[in-house]
Formats: sequence, C-alpha cells, structure tokens
Amino acid sequence: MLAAAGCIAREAQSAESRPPVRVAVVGTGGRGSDLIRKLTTIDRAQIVAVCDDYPPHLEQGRKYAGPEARSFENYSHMLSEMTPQAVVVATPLVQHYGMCREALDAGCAVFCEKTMCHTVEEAKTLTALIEKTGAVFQVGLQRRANAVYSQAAAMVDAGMLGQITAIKCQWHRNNPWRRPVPVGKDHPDWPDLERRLNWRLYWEYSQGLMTELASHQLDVANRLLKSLPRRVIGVGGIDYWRDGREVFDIVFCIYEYELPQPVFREKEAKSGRSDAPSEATAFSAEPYKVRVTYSSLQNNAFEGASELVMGTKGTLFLTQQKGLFYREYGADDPGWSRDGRIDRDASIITSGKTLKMSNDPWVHRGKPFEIDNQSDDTRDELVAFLQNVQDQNPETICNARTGYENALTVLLGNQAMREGRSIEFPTESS
Amino acid sequence: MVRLHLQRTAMATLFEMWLLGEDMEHLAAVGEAAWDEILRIEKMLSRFDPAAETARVNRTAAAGPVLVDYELFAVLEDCLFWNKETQGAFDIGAVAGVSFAEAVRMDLSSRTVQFLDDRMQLDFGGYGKGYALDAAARILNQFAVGSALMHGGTSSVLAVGVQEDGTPWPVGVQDPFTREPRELRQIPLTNCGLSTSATFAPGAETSDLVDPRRAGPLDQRVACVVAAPTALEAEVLSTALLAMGKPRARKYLEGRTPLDLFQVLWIEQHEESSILNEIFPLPSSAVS
Ligand SMILES: NC(=O)c1ccc[n+]([C@@H]2O[C@H](COP(=O)([O-])OP(=O)(O)OC[C@H]3O[C@@H](n4cnc5c(N)ncnc54)[C@H](O)[C@@H]3O)[C@@H](O)[C@H]2O)c1
Repeated sequence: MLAAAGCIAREAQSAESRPPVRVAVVGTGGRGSDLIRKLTTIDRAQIVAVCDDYPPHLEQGRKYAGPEARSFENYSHMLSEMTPQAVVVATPLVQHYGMCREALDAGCAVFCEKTMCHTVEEAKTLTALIEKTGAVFQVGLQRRANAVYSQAAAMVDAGMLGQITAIKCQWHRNNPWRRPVPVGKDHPDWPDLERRLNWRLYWEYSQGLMTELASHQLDVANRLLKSLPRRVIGVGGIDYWRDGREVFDIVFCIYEYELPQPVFREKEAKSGRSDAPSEATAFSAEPYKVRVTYSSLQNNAFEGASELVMGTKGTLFLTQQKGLFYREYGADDPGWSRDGRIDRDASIITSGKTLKMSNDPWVHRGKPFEIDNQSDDTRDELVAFLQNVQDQNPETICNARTGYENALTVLLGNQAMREGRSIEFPTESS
Repeated sequence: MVRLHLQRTAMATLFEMWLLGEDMEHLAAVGEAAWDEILRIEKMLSRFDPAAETARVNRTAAAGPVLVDYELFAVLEDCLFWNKETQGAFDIGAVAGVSFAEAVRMDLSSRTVQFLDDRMQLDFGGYGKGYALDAAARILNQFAVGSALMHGGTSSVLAVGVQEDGTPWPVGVQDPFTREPRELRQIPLTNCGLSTSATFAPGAETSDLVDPRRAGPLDQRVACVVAAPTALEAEVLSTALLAMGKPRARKYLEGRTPLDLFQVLWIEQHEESSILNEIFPLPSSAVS
C-alpha cells in the first residue's frame, strides 16, 4: 500500500507571515458552501465576502463563512464595493464566463468551478484573455490535486502500464439528480424556482452530464494521455427520468486519441531472461490510437465514479479515494511458479505439489498494488490556488489552457450526441 | 398519499428513510437532499475517511493548533458541554483512552483545536448519527415533508410526524443479548429521537464501548434506550447513561422533568434472560 501525500507537505512548509488572501465567493449553493467551509480551515485564506442572488443560499453561505464576511445579492455590486484578491466562482455553468470576466477585469485572481464555460467560444475567449494578462486562474477539477491521480500519472509515465490502449471512464449513479423546490407545484413561483434550483437539467444553463460529471474524468484521460482527442462519437437520451428535464439522463461517448509520441514497448524476450529488468524502449512508428469511453447512467450506481486505464502491462482502477494497480501476466512477469523467489539458475521451481490457486473466477486479477488517498483534494486544490495567488504565479495546477481543453472535450461529446454524428476536434490548439 | 423508502450506507452503517407525502417526485428530490446532508456530515465527522475534516484534525492537531470550520468548532463545544453535563460519562476521547476535556485545547478567538496528549483522537461514534439525523430532519422541514421515519444503523432513530393512518411510528426494541429475535417493547414515536446503546453486540465476548472513568471496556451486559426531543440528545444520553451504569444513571436522572427527556429504558440480564425496566420517568412518578 502506498500512502500518497499530495499537497500536504507544501502547506506545512509555509507557516508564514504573508497576509492571507482576501477571497470572495460567488454562488453559495451546494458546491460554493463546500468551498467556503474548506476556505475557513485554510490559514492563508480570509473570506471577505459571499454573494448569491437566492436569499436562502446566501444565508447558508454567510453561516459557513462566519461573521466577518460581508454578503451581497448582486455580484457586480460586490465588485464595485470591494476588490478581493481572488474570486471563487461556484455559480451555474452559464454564469461562469461572465463572472470570470468581471473578476479578471477587476484585477482579481479567479478560481472557477468546472466546467470552465458553457460554450467552446467562451472558453476560447477567456483563455486568450487570461494568457494575455497572465492572471492567476484555476479551474476546479480537484483530481488535479489528488494524490491517487498524481501517482497514476507517474506510473503511466514510468511505463508501468506499458502501452495504453483504452480508458473506460464512468460516473454512474442511481438518483433523479433533481433538487427539491421549497414550494408546492401549485404555487405561482414553482416554475421559476424549479428552473433556478434545477439549472443542471436545462440546456439553457447547463450542458448536462458531460459538463457536470464527465468533465472530471475526461480531464483524467487528457492528463494521462497528454493529448486532446481527435474525434468523438456518442449517443444519449432521456430514457428513465422522463420528468420534464431537457438534458440526457444517459450518455455514452467514445473518444479517439492519436498519439504520435514514442511509447513504451516491452522488449521481445527472445533471448533475454524474462525476469531481467525490462527496459522500456522508445519506439516510434505510426501514430497509434487510444479509445476512451465515457458513460453516465442515473439508474445504476455500480462502481460509481471510476476510471479503468488499460495498458499492455497493467491496469489501473482509479477513484478519488483509492487506486488499484493490477499487472497483466505477460512476458516479463516473474511468474507464479517462482512463489515470489527470484532464482537465477532455475527457470521453474517444482516441488511435487500443484501450485494452489483459488477457483475464484476473478483470480486472474491477482493482488493489486494499492494507492490510498490521505487527504481532501478539494481543500488541497484551494491551498494550491491560494499559494499561486500569493506568489502571483499563473502556472496553477489546472490553468486556463487545461480548462479550455477540458471544456472542448466534454462539449464536443455533447455535440456528437445531439447531432448524431462524429465530431472532429480542431487540429490547431486554440 | 405515497411513501418513499431510501436505503443507503454512510458512517460505516446502513441508513434508511421513509418519507410520506403527496408527490413522489418531490419526495425523491427531498430524500436525495436529506441524504446529501448526511454525507456532508460524514465528511465533517468521520475519523476513517482521510478526506474528512475530523480525520485532518486527528492527523495534525497533536503538532500544533489546527484551524477548523465554524460548524466543527461548534460541534466540539457541544461535545464539551455534554461532557460536563454528564459528569464525564460522554467523552469523545474515550476511544483513544484519554479525557477530551483535558486532552484538547480549544481557542475560540482563533477557532483552533490542539491536542495536548498525542494519543488524543476525536471520535464522534456516539454523536454523529444523531447529529446527522437531526440535520436531515431540518432538510425535510425546509421542503415541507411532515411525516418521516429515519434511522442510522437502527441504533439512532428519528420520527417526524405520524404515519398515513395518523398513528405514531412504531419502533420495536429487541433483546440485544439473544441471538434469536425477541421483541421486548414497542415504542410509538412522533417528533422524537430514540437511541439504543448496548455494551455487547449479540454473541460478543467483549464490549466495544469504553468506560471513560476506568478507560477499559464496559463489562456488564446492559443496554440503555433513550427517547428524547432530538436524535442527538437521545444518542448522547444513551451512550452516557450506559457508561455511568444504572446507579449513577438513576441519580443523574433524578429530578428531571419529562420535557427534557421523554423516556429512559434499561435492559439488563437476570438469570440468563433480559429484562427491561423504565428508569425514567419512574413508573410510580408517571403522572397522566
Ligand atoms: N468540483 C466539484 O466536484 C463540483 C461539485 C458540484 C458542483 N460543482 C460546480 O459548481 C458550480 C455550482 O454547482 P452547485 O451544484 O453548487 O449548484 P447550486 O445550484 O447548488 O449553486 C449555484 C448557486 O449560484 C447561485 N447563483 C445563480 N446565479 C447567480 C447570480 N447571477 N449571482 C449570484 N449567485 C447566483 C444560485 O442561487 C445558487 O445558490 C457548477 O459549475 C458545478 O459544476 C463542482
């Protein structure tokens, strides 16, 4: 088992004297409240204001932020009254672009919840602006601060998986994804309140499962493969929760990546001994393809949110809390027949008894190597962001470019499903 | 009228909810919101989930003061209150073998917590389920669900309103020390929390509960059932009364009015079989 330490060390080093970063949070609903609570546990943050235009949520935000934070119902008004050093944007997707712009124009650093923007155009414009000004900007894809995923990336880079051929990403859950409305259906305010609270269910404010869930996991794919996809096909529909929602309640996409880089191939063990350390040989030929599948269901939660990274030498099963690495039994495997011993003189060790394995049909999986997360990735992503704000360092752990590529990935998936055709990714980046 | 049943795992146990109302779609959405609230509290109070706030405090507070969020600070103050109120019988340091009141320094002005004894570990095992059920009930109230029954691991129960037919929610108290199910009492609940604590799991050789005064496992086969206005009070008091033992518990309850506490039942073994007695209010003093 490996206990990966993530960003904790960085935080500990800096019992420092710099004044805390003055932070304002806009959108104090579900996620905004989480972020507020985390911020109140971080020395280098001081929440100076919270803002939400829905009074019950603003009240909740104030409660979590503590008595020193001012509260505002109007975002522009807040920014005209004060200039926080950093603004945290946790409003519905459709608001992200405008709110980020306003904060950046006021000279603030911005932490914007995923997905970066509601449209590709917006994400592109925002990225260009940020890259021009050098503003500190981070997208809230917290797996970027999660030690399981850093470890996974390091294992991929070290060639432990061999050549990756496919990644299967899923976020399956079993619930309606619907927020309750505080008044009954017969109340005149119900229709407005319902749309406001259930913004995730309508195209006007949201891009559905792709922006709300898939963004996390397709960022993992882009990160591990160090590339954008080339094309995507997909199907989606509203097949279970037929309750008036517009966005799909089930999505299946297949992304095709083309990787031109050198890849790790095991040396053909023709002459050499199979237990000799296998050298990863740089091998460059035709670009090869990797397929990444993404699915979201809302009526079966088996294996929840997880990614399965499949390589010629091994498989990684990743979740936020835990990662598992399984080896493929292959050419350079030290072998079951050696019982863990490396004997230089014998290829096989026999002792008269048949090696006992279980009859369990899953025995081929073997014992996994475990990667444990020991920390809270949401808190850690905020710690990392605040440090970059203090250092005025635009190289955040999930910068605008990454956010743009992520938005492009999920939004083109939606386009493929909605238009029922294969969509090509733009070849020139940005 | 329709009834929604929701069953999920959290806090290393099973939670269930039954919600009554007119509109299934609304009930399902409220059920999810109540469930999210329970998960949120688990993320605050768990010492097993490394991403939880409590786990972070447990990892770091022995090294120096740790900044905690407003809610956790309030929870810790509440635990300190209950520790004093129950004369040390309720103690979130008991599992670690230390006294919370002595081993933790809390500073309100900086909102920090520091462990003065490096064995100290916060443990909300006798607090969290009740706290979570009360919070879930606030969500139900916010969204106008007036009839519901919820439990965490069957040991913490909260009843809101009444059933479809207007009767209270019936909760059966089972003999904790026999393997074959035997109901000792049925308690009708409405707008009320209930919690049971037993020193031994059925068939167990040693207790998983600790006597904070002796810092060893409890040794008598006894169980305590408390009905109280909130699930939190019921849980804290059933834990504390059990740790006190019957004589001290009786003394502690003397002179209280049935308003702060509805009912306390005591289960003990007598000649190999379990008997259940009311120790509060005492049957003789039961007016009305
Ligand atoms: N990183 C994660 O794990 C994660 C988890 C959940 C949500 N999110 C993201 O966080 C964002 C918010 O999601 P949520 O689930 O908290 O939604 P939510 O509906 O609970 O909260 C959004 C809040 O924004 C407020 N708001 C809307 N328009 C506003 C305006 N013009 N001015 C001020 N406030 C306004 C709403 O009143 C609401 O309180 C989304 O982008 C979502 O994708 C991220």
